[in-house]
Amino acid sequence: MSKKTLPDELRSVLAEHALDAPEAEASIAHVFSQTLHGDPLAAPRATRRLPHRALLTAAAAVLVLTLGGFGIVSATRQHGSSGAASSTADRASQPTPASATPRGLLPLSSRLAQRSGGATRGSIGDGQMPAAPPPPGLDCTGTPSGKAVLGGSAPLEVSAAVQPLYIYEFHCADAQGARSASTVLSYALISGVLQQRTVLVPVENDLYVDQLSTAKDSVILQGQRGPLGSYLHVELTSTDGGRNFQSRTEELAAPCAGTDLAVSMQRIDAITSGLSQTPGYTLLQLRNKGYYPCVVSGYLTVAGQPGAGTPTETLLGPAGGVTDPTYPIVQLVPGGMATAMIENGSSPGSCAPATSLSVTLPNGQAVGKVAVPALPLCAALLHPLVDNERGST
Amino acid sequence: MTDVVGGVGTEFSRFVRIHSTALLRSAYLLTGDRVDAEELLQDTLVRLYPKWPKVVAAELPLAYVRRSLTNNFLNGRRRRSARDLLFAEPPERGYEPDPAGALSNRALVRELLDGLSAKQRAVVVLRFYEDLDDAAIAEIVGCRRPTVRSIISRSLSQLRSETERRSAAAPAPQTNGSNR
Repeated sequence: MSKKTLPDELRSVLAEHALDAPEAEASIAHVFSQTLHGDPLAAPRATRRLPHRALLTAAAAVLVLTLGGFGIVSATRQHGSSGAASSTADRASQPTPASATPRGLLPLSSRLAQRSGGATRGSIGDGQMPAAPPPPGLDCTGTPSGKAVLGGSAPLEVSAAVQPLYIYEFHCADAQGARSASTVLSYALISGVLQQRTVLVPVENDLYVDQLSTAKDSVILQGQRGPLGSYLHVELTSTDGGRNFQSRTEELAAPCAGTDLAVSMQRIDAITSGLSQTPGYTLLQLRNKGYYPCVVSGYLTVAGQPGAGTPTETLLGPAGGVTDPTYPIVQLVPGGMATAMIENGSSPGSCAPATSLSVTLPNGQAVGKVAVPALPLCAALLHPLVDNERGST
Repeated sequence: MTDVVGGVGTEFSRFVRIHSTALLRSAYLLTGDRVDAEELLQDTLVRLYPKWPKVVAAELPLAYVRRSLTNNFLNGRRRRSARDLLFAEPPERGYEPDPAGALSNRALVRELLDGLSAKQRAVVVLRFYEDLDDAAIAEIVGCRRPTVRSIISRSLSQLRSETERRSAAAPAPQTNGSNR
């Protein structure tokens, strides 16, 4: 059986074969129709109007624990004007390459591209959002080379109000894809100018918003508590026309522990075509072998052995599966897989080729070792973890 | 059971939403067929719903459901084998050697898995996909630990010898065997 042992081959074949299983959506619907006579969460609760794909993945998330309030308190109402609208920060209109769409939760930019690409809401002008205002009070000086970016936006229809509110999420991002906590604000369009109404989520709450959507009277957020924390579902609901919001927070996934994951690798050698040559790369694959979903984001720590050094540079880009300014928050359902690409460098580097890699999660927990065929690691480029079961590209 | 917003219904709904993808993959590996896998999962969950409080009370509810899924699969296979006596020999499946070695191995392993008995296949899936230990597999399948080890050893041996036999018998790579 080539170079692998039969048990290893079996593991590999079964893991790959399992991905050919059908989507669970039809089975879930059938089970609900036979037991609960419908979907108990979707039907009576109109607030869960997440996009289809996101809903499926969120549905596949962990045991949902009500945390009794994450502290995203009812909005501090602010009437100060935010000034004229600016289009420079609005990524909503930027096209997102289809190849970058991950399999799991869609990043905000992808969702925004979908929204601006045709999702309509009749009462709010065909889903058009006013150009985003500059983020107020967002200090990015704490993020090295960081700049403020618009993560997402959505119109909010509120009861007893003629005009909708507009919800914007901002955060800082640096060149390596790291980001800061979010600030989420609501605005009203008054005489053609966006004016800030409320701060729904202040930066101090340390929520890294990954998704933003709205239902009538509700803003629905999903994101990570801190850069390495749990993945949360937060609903902010207003009963007074958008002046104040009550929050409800649930934990969807705990941070991945090293023991939750199994590491494997896939080596893709260099390909020469005509005059060009693509450098080879190695995909580190982390599979959730636990019973519950977990969440992970950022760069792995990879150390080559014996004494073969570590990748000296990190890289954020489409080659590694990322087209956003920030790396994704990856939710791993049981059996799900995340990958991180190690791109071969253009030179062999000065260190001895590694024959095995020691892999550690961004939170410092060791995952394990994986054998690799003579990888010149210290000249390699490390990409962040992405949610992609079949590879990063 | 009628309180679907805050009671058993919600717990059941959440479990189904959270774990169906993983369970369906397991069901697919057990059955080897997409439709059979869906039927197996749906049947298992619908059967478990009336006794969901018992499932939730288990130390590991997911393990409980996996056990039910596997038992359902094994029982279904027993029923099916009793029904399908007309097909004493399975239809022969062709295996064409693939010049790309890795792909051949995978296709071969996959095909050979189909040749294992239902119980052997369940044990192989539980060990090599679910990464369960002997004790957990023994509990799920309903046998003793030495039996699990024996089944794994026999299955691997069967896979290995069949792989070697076919590799030895396979001619040099040709296109569609046209000159045979």
